[in-house]
Amino acid sequence: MRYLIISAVFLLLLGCKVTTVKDFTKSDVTKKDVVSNPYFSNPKVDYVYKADISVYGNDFSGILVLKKITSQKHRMVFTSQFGSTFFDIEFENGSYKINSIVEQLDRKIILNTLINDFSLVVKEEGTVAERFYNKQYNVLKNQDDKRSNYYFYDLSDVRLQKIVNTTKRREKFSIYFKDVSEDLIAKNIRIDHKNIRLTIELNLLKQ
Amino acid sequence: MLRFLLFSCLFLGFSILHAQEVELSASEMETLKNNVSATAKQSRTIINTFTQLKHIDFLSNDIESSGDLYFKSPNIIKWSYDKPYKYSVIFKDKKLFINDAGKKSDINLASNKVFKKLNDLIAKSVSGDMMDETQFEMSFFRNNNQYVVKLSPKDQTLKKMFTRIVLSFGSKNYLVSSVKLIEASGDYTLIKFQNESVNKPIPDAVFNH
Repeated sequence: MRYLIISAVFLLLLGCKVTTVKDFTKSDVTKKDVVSNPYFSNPKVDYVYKADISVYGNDFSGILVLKKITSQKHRMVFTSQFGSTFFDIEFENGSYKINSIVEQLDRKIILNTLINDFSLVVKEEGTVAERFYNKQYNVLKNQDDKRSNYYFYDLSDVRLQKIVNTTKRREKFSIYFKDVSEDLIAKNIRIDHKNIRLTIELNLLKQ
Repeated sequence: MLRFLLFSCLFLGFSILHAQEVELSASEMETLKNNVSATAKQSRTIINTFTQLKHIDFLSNDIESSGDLYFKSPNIIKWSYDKPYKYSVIFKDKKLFINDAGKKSDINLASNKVFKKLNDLIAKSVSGDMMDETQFEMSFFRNNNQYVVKLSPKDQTLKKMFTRIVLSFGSKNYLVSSVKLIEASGDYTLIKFQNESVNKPIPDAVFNH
């Protein structure tokens, strides 16, 4: 009987484990392995996107600008089509600084979400905790405090296609990078949340 | 010698540039106010093409947009952007109607004071009818063939968005030729108008959502 209970608990625990790399094969991490995201790493580029943010059925649209302003720092500004600024935030080594934000967006849950999402969007490098693969992807897992980030690299072109952010048991959000140009600019980026109705879609604007 | 000449030229050029903006006398100020206000009252419709530059200090290039503007007195306005993407907003019947690349939505201005203030500001700056001392602190200048009015909002909502608004008027037609909206950070949006045509009929369909 005791054996049965232990097995049941064990099975339950197994069942609750995050399914991000289910059916993937685990392989050894080598010293050379790093997670890397090149899409916002060029300090010479003004990354200018049309941004559509949908939160529980409310839509915000505007222009989102990202730029690497020093070797460790990114700055992000979201403005309306008319030019008024919704927010202006700086990211540096996992910390952030808010230069300005309009009242309507200055709520803890929205701010935390934006900061979590975009910290990961601009994060360029990290260490590898685990490594997995299947026929399509090479997956590198990066541990960031209590959260894990799974970086999916396409085996055919070695490009980063998505990052999945998870707790131990659940996926929280995913970032998809699509339509990547030769100079490593992702023309379409989508951020999907699993437990809140929030999506962010970015489409590159040609200057 | 050449270097001296070049330097003098540069220096002279700089002083001339600097001297271009001259503050108006009290009587000139009155004349300007009256003329702008008279033009605003006579302008039942205005059609403009515009280019808009958003200047953000840390960017290498300004973000450029352009399109057409339709104004119908007293306060119906349509901004129709063609670049960098299709986007239009119509301020009408106390509502803001947005068409974002085919996706339509509307915002009730009565319940959103930020957009209401923005609407009033835009309507008044397009028609030139914003010389309201209760709303703005104002200073007046002449600059070549332009009049320049610098406005600092007194209203708290507006002040949070823009610390200063600079309007330029043609010295002959007293129509707004540019609007510069300056934020506290120093970043700004500059909207320049071209090909103004005044009092040409605008079909109602233009303002349909």
